[in-house]
Amino acid sequence: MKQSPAERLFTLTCYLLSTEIKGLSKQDIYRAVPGYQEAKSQDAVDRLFERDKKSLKDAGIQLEVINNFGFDEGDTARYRIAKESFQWPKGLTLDSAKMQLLELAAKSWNNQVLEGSAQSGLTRLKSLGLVASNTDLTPFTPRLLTRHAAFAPLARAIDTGAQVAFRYQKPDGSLSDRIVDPQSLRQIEGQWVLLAIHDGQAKNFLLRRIVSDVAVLEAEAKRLNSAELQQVEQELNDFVRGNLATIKVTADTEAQLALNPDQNGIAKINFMDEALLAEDLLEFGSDVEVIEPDSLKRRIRASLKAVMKQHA
Amino acid sequence: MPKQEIDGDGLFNLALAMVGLVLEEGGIEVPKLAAHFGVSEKVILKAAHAITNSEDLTSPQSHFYLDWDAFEDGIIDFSVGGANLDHAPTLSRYQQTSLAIGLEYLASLPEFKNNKDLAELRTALSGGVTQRVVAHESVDVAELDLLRDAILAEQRVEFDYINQLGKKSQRKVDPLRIDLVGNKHYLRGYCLDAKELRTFRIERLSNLTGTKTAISAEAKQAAIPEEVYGTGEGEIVELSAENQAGEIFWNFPVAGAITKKDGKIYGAIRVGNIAAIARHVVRYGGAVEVISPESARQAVRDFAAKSLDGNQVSEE
Repeated sequence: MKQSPAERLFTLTCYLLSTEIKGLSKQDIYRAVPGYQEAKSQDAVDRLFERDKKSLKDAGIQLEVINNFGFDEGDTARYRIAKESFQWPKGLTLDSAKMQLLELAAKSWNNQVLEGSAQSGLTRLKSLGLVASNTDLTPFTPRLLTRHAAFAPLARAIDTGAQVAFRYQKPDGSLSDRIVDPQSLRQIEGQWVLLAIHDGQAKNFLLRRIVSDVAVLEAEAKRLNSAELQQVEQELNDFVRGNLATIKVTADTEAQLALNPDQNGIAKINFMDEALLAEDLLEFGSDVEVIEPDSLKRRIRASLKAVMKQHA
Repeated sequence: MPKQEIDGDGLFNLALAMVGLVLEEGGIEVPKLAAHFGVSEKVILKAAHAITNSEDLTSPQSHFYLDWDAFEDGIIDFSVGGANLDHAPTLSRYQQTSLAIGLEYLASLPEFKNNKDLAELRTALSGGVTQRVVAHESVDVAELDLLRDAILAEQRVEFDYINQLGKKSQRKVDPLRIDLVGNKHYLRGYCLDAKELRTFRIERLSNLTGTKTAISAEAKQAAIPEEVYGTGEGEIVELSAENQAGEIFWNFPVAGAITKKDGKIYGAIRVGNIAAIARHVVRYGGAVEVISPESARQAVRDFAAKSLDGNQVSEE
């Protein structure tokens, strides 16, 4: 009987699930799954099986290899599917509101790097029930912008728990090579920020300041637990709360709409990164004037002078 | 997922999800399955075939049997043969990461700030909700709510607008869609004043009011282009950018190829109005340079000079 790749993978999964304790040998598998009998040689069937093992892994089905002799995965190895493959995250229930959010989350990838896996994840989640999605958010078309070349390798490394290396440029132009343990990617103030451990400390890296390719290393990355992650985010929030700029804003301008000044035209703005705030303020041109901090005032002035000199 | 054929891994994924769903819910009509999974009915039938064409050659039983009587009535239902599978496997780590990043992105947007369902999903899929880090909100959530309600009710809105050159106007707009690109919010709608589809930065509108007027026939027929920044008409401006300012090329239609040389990025963009390019270049404080035309260089120079006047500080 002829089988398509999807049919072969499905049959393989079912067959592997039929044993819970001792596992199945390659020979058992080749005998039971029709798709393997179409292979023209032993080599071809072995290659097919190797490819299928990878497809199963990519689909989240973990194959356990039980070796009877030695450590290498030889012909005597036996295979079974790990129980964890069927353990869904605790507390995950779906209703119409959540289904709509998940659809938006997948849609926001908008044909970029992880769109395929987000969509296939959504398909998998839809096995949990015939839940219709709400429609109150249909006016929204959210789009992540992840055109940074660093994004995909960092997401992979976080996924597999590997260390990464890259060259980082600080706003002052200085360059340094970093090897870090990546933890998470999130968007803050419109910027993608990598949270990673560097030299034993949790640090935030802006993706746009990663100026080299990202190398994914063999070494395993340390992972922060959920309490440590909370702590790091709390510290970043405290840091943002502590960074305050005072800006004079011209009335009746775009800057006024964006910065919400008081009746005296003074806006107090918290910021994560002074260089990024300077960029946003520079766009408002002469409609804003920095009162403090001095460092921001100097930064803006230096930026404007650099632009003038370059375009003289 | 658009209605299109899927590859082997995609079909395998769908078969796993479908068998889980049908075993949970009982027989389901083919069109219902197609709508639920966002695929064509043909793909649903292929997935059903993958599930039932799962013979175990060492056993007299197949893993699953299709209920042919139900199938003739357009219903997919299975009975379990030798299979030891009663629900779909959980998400792969990569599927989970992809959805989790999408959810984290939604959580970074002000309109989802207090969304309890989102918090629950993030707890389940991201391994713990971390706080949202926000320095300042640039968009008013009440405005977004009003716009969303107007779009759903198909009703006209009115507002004051300041365009990117600082010019003010009053607009009557039939709202059609809200686009969030990164953290910027755009209203796509049919402008009754301009008599065409327009894109408005929501951060730049004020005195927004809803009306009870139904949107126009022109608005209903309008096809909204995917790109917020238009389709590429206008003057060509040549730029060079340092790596960290490369994002400037994402914000405009690009004309021709983008090249890299000596650690810099070179390319050309199209802009509707030369004066409007100035603010976008000045924001990078020297990390972006206009190469040509001279009128654009002049616009940048003027913008910077005027800004410098307003930001006088004593020299060190």
